[in-house]
Amino acid sequence: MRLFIIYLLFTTKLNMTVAKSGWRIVEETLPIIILFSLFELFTGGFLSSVLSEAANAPGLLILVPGMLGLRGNISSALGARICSGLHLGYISTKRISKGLKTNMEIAICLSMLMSFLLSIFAWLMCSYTGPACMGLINFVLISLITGLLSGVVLSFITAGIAILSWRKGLDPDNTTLPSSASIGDVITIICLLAAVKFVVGLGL
Amino acid sequence: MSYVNVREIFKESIPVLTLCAAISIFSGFFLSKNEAMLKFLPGMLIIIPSFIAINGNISSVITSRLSSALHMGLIKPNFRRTKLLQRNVYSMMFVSLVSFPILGFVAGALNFLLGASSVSFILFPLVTFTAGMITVLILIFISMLFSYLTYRRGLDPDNVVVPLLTTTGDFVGISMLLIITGLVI
Repeated sequence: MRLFIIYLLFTTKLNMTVAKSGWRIVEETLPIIILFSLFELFTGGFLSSVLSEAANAPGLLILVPGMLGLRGNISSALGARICSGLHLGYISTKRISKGLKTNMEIAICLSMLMSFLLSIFAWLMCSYTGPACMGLINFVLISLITGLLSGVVLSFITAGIAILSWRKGLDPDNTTLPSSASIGDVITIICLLAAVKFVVGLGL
Repeated sequence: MSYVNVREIFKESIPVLTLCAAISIFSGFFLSKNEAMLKFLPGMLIIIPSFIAINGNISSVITSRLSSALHMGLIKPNFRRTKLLQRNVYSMMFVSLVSFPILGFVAGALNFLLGASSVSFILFPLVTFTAGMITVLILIFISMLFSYLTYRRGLDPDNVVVPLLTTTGDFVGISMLLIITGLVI
């Protein structure tokens, strides 16, 4: 109880400091961060099915944080670049500018390249430490399919969110990164499940 | 003048992303090592993406804000307590103070409703809050440090720090969550 009171006091004090200097950051980020963290509970649900799928594809669990992280990294770097571009004015919201298109192409290329590298790292880690491990070709295939599918879908979603929030008068720095990261995780894990089903079905 | 320098983006991104991929393989390894605990506590597995998402979101929002401010010249790359910097850090701390307990309560309620495990309801908010605050403090500090260092060296923090920080966040977050859960149990 005492802890709770201290917590309340601390929150109120912080609250006042924040209020003095501007609620805008909190106002724009808090709802989105809470909303999307609850949204991530779906990813958690899908993660349970990945855990059960891992019986058919031993070593799959090692790939999961890497795959999610990579997706998040590439699409948030894309989002941050689009935001800086909007702030500096070289990306316009009126038409599809060259800056936007090039950035999206870069994101998709990087996604393919890094998925390939990641699968090799995962295979190395798995074959040195794990008791059971699927073949290198399976790792590479699963990773590449997931990378391509999620890379294309996510680039469009990220660009869309950044431009929409700019048009609505929100600061895209506060909205784009959290939302594209959370949507990215769910989409990536669905793509991963599909890729695993497909590759295991091939029976290589 | 073209603002999108493709070569530079690739040149800055590839080493960082490779580093991130390597780090994240270790969080994957950590995760699969604790498979037994995750099977014992299915609720924890469901929390993990949400938990690391909050960390990632908070750290990438603050990094993105810092780098936009650096680009526009509103913040100088030093640790002086300017008003703008304080505003950014305090608001992110406020956001995490509110969001971690909410995640914990929702996860606890879900776990209770689904009857997934016999662990008491209060465990989830307690664990997410403790692990979350420790992780966020570490990450805000790393974010400032990395943004300033890369900016001083003439690199773009957007390309370098955001990826590095989300991956570090995953690793710190997953290990903190599993360590604190282990301690509480």
